[in-house]
Amino acid sequence: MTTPPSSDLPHAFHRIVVAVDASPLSLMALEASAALAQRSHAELTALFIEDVNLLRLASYPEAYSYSLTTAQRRSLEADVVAQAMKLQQAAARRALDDAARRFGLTARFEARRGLIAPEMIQASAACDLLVAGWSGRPGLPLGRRARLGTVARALLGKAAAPVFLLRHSLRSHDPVLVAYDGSAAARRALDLAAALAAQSDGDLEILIPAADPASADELEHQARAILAALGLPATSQRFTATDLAAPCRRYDHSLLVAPLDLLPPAEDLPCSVVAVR
Amino acid sequence: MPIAPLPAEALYRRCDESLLPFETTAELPDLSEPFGQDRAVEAIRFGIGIRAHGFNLFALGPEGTGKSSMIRQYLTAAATDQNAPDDWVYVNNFDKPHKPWALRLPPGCGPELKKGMETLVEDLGLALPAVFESEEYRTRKQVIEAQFKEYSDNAFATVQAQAAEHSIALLRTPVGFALAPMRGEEVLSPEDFQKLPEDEQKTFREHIARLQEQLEQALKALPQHERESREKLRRLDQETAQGSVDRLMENLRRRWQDHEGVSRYLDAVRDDVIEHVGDFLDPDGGEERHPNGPVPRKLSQHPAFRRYQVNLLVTNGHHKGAPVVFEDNPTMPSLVGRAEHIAQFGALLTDFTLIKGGSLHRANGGYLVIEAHKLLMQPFAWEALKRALRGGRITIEGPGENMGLLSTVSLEPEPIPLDVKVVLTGEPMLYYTLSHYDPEFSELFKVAADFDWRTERTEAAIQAYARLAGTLSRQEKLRPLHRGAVARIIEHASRLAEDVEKLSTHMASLGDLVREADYWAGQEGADIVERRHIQKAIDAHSFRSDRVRSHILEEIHRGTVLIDTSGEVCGQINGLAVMELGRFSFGHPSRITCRVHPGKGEVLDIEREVEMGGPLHSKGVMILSAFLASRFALKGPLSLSASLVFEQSYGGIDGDSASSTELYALLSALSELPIRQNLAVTGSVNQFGQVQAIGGVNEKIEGFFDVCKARGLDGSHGVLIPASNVKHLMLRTDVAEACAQGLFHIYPVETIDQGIELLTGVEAGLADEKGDFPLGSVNRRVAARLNAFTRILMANAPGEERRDRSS
Repeated sequence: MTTPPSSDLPHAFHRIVVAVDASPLSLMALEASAALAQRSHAELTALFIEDVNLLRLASYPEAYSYSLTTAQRRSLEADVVAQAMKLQQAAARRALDDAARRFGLTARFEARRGLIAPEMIQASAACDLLVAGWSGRPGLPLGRRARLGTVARALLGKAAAPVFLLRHSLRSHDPVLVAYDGSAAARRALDLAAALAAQSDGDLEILIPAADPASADELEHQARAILAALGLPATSQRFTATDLAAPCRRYDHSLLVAPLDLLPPAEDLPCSVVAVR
Repeated sequence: MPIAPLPAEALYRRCDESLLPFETTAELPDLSEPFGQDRAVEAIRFGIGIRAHGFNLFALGPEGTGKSSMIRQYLTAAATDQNAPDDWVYVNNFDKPHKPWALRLPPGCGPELKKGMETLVEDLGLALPAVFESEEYRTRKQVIEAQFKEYSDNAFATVQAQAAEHSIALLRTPVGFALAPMRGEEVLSPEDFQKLPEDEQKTFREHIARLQEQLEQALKALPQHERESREKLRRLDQETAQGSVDRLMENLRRRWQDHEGVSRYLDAVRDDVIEHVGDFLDPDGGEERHPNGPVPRKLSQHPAFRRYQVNLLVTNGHHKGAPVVFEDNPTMPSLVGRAEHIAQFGALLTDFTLIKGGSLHRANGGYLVIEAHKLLMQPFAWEALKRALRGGRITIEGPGENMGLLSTVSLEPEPIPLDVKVVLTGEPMLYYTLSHYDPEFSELFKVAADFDWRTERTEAAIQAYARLAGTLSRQEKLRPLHRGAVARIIEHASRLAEDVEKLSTHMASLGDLVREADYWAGQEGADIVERRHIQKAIDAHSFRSDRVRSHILEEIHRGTVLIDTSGEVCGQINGLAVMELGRFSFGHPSRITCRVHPGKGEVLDIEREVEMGGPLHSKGVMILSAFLASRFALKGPLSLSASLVFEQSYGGIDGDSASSTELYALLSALSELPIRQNLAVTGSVNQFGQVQAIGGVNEKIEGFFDVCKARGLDGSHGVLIPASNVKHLMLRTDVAEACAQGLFHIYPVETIDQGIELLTGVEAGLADEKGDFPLGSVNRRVAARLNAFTRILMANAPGEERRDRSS
């Protein structure tokens, strides 16, 4: 596949914000963001938020926490929580520095204190892609958590910029699937998908809602024309409106780009997703 | 009566060409039977035929007697009529990988099993991923995963939902989960909490306590559910794999259903493939292959599937009979096999695929031929061979393992039953040494094939020898030999055997002679090898080896080494010595002198005194002393001191072949009768004065002849040899011809008295009934001199001793 220079594509990124808390998924998100930033020559900001809810909880004299691995109860001490947050912040900063060095980026680290979702929604106003892990909770060994994290859920609802929720590490040549229903958001999704596919060298597949054959053909024709103008070949297939997740299940790893309106409940999706408003 | 010299015909027995009824050897059929080794042939036939334990063969004989070629000939013939032995392979023992299984397969079936397993792995590598990518499998897997996810999510969601109902948040902290009272989206601070009404605080506390309990229960139940889900996934994988594996293995299992060992192995393979099906889905274990790293050409060669390989140790499909293996480098590993190691991250690792068979494996069911001295030179090899023969099985182990020297992780491959006939070849000394010092040797090598180095020179043997020479020239594409050449070869074979009635069986010498003669014939442009070419080959070989001999002759001629060949000297005689330089030996004269004076009956052997004389030489001197005493000191003590020496001898000497010579010198010195220097003497003597046979008689005579010839033969020169050595005479042509012309003489001597008469020209003299010898005889003079010594001693002895001696 011939990859056109990313700067020629309509949705090259200028500012990418990635939320980092040193959890494994957030580190994968940082890695993916750095790769995108490098190829788009975009500015990368890593956002670390000290959760005030947690600090308040830790200040209770009789607060307890329950270990996920041992199921044992421990007293939650404020200084331990504070220290742990410091360590997480330091780890996140180190990860950013390391990624910036490896990818040759100028990256910024920003630490804020507040409620996580509102802070990230606020940050999304000043960027053209907000990247975060699917869930902040450490994954259970067997499979990944199906339920979307509360923060991710809030982002999908309220973020100003497209939200990239990472479920797996992003690998080159992973296919990029884009849902297209002719809406303005779908058009933006198509541009974004084209940029992501070009950058990851992955195949591009257009997913058309199969409401009635005539309109589906028309939509497919439109989408192909747009991509052809960008010099990107693509395959296409239909999906029933109720099951956008089905085409994604054919791949172990894939990336779905879709207008927010077309997205099924995110729990049903087996892959990483970029929601476009 | 003086002894007559030997007639010319006694010095060299020509081969009568009428015994050779052919023009050239091209007319003769090949000789298929071994020559002159009837005893060894019988032993080899017996050794090959008998299959009982311990009846291995040791072929002993001097180097060059054709042991190896004869053994090859007989073993190959015997092996052709036997069945090819079974194949052996090593396969993985899935329960105990350090103890690989050995499988016995019918001849030629080893490669088939190996190929079958390779094909199976390739097929599994294609089929299993396809099965695991099927919609059916994916759906079933997703259902199991979804069930667990649902359970875990529900467990938290239930707690979370109940918490939310009561304005309580379930928070993830860096050290686990915690519950906190909320207002809106924010956690209440402790201060705000305190400001709440008491009832509300209490309600919060109660709810939190109850939810904490639920959370704890949910967290505790998770690992169990996770285990159950894993087990379900594992069973699903196995069920999914099982069908494909069974289907793909069906042909292989049917092919080997009658073979218990292979069937058992295939069962283990099936279970292992199902157990480790993940390897076929992702052979690299999720790791991307290094772009420059080696890419296995076939899946069956992939490191993840080494354990399904079949290590073909030995296959006999291409053999028509039993194997005959000649091991030229019998180290311990090359005999019993070895387990090689590969270095990985600084550690030495091994597995069953690195087992290499040895010559015992290749020869199993047949014959293994080893040169004994090579075997004994290799550390641990002899013990390893004995262990294998004694135990009847081949156990592969490293040289240091049985001594506990190495502690690296190694293999203990299943031993392989051994049924082999081992043939050792070697010098007789090795055989006798092993028999003497190693008790196991006689138990394991019960058959000795004793190769003789000579055989009788009969008419039949002469004709067989002609066929042998002809066979050799044909095999090596040399020119055919004329019967005259064959006759000369026969004569040379007698010379090599040092006996006119024998022929040498040293095949290496015969082969070299024929090859060298062919070369000289080629130089001459002749089409056939004539007698003169054989003679040229003998002379040229002698000349090439001749440097030391010619130097000695030169020094004698120049007077550096003092040897008289004319005149007469008292107490001085020409002895004869043989020098051996590798396979070339020659004789040369050596002056022996004797001085006497009154003394206490001692004959001083100067060679022994300076430790240059060997024990046999000392024995000879003691015998001649005994002879002297018994003849001359019957009436009184032997009042003599004599010293004997090999003049200008700077190396050690041994052997008793000069004892008669020394006795002549002693008698000359005592009798004051001079000895002829144009004669040389060889022969040992016994206590009765009889002259006995010695070795190297031809070389000795030729050695003195060369010296005399260089100074000019005048008919007076000659050599005294023991009469019992006459049958050993096969002298050089020029010596025999000089004798025929009366220029040189060989005297066969039976007694010391005969010899001394020849040397001094004076009668030896027989004692009369009183023990007195005739006047003027040698012995009379000796006795008189000894009496004179006695008188001198008595005159000079102190009074007491003088009375004792006179009484």
